[in-house]
Amino acid sequence: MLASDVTALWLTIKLAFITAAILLIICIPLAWQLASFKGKLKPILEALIAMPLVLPPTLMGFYLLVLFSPTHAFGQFWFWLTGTQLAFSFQGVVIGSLFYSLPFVMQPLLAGFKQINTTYNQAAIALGISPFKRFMYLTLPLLKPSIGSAFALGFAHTLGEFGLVLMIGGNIQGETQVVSIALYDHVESLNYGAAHQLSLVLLAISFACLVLLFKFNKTVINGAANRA
Amino acid sequence: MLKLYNTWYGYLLLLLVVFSNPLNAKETLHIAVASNFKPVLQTLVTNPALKNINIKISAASSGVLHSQIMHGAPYDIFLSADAARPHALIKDGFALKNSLTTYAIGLLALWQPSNSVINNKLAIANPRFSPYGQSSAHYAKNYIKTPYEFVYANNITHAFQFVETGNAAKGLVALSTLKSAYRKTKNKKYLNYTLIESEKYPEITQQGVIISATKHLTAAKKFMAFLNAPSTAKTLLELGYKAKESDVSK
Repeated sequence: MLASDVTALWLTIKLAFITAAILLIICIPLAWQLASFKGKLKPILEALIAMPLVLPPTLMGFYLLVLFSPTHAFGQFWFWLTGTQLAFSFQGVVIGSLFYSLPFVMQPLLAGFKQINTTYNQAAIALGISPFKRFMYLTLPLLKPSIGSAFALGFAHTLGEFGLVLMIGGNIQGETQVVSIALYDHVESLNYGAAHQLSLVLLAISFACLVLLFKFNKTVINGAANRA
Repeated sequence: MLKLYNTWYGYLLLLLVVFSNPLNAKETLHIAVASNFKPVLQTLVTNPALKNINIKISAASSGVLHSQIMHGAPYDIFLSADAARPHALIKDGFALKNSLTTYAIGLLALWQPSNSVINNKLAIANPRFSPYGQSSAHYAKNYIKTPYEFVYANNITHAFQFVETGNAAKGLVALSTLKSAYRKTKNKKYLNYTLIESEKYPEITQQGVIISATKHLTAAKKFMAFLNAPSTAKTLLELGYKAKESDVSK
């Protein structure tokens, strides 16, 4: 395998890991709130979270490019905060991936929260345990399988990210050239041999990811049907 | 396909085709065009000279179209953004050798819409697979003296978007893209470019071929002749391309 492909592979794994980790931190409290939320806005919030499932990634990429621009308020704010520019940088790609993979982390968590038996929680309330402690010692441990699958799905989905990175990345080695972009490069330059090799590696990693997911998380993925 | 005409079932097929069409029916041409040329093609096909041909346009990157044709896509003509892919199709028997023509020559412009974006990013199309990118990289390396840092766009229009959105301060873009943007919006920022002398970069030769499997050879030939006509060359120049024989420097 080419040295640039190894760099791309490592970068992709790093990106997928960071994205899935940040999404977990954001989504666990969010899903917790949303699962017990009964307001009229609930379907709207759920739809918003699911939007990246249906939007074309290149479209999201284009609007992120507009958002990241130093002529735009958000781009200016980021520049003021960090002194760097988001487009064409690893941070920019991470932000893009957070949007891109959001529903894949959110859905298993939401499903997980909805499945947790409320009687435990009621018992804990009766015992006068604080909401924070209930969350830490009761809800989180019960949620473990969902957290596992949320992470794995977010990770696997980010591995295959393409259109969005293509739009905002600028194809820079070691910074924004992820595996899918490197693959596209090989195919476009009629370099099929290298493309086949890299695809095979990506395929193996993604497959391993999914095997692990299904092995450890039967309950969450098929959960609703099995428990009913 | 041509050999078919020498056999009796070839004649039968020909008769079938002839009689299954009403006499004055328009012929339909399906043209696969590299994305950068699509707006120009859309303008060209409105020309009265082509009123008897019904033209369908499919635009994508030359690489994608090339693969599609290799796998039997039903196109009659392929207008590529480079010379390599039409040649490859001819070599593999997918396109007609004598139909090969240089229909346009791409022109590069260095575009910096404003001085408000302060970074040294220079957007170019990816030189690994885009002919515009190869010429852009060649020009930048040899002639741009101020410090810059490349950002690679997926194609020449995407390089334009990097600059347009303000993420790259400047970029090497196609003159045709700037002209088309100016025509649509009349925004003065699309005029803040420097046209680059064509001696300073490898020529961006955009070639086209007729696909061997076409069932509309006559119409396809007619279209190719139209594409190479002097009147078309004039339109091309207005839209930001150079025709093969014309010279923009004079």
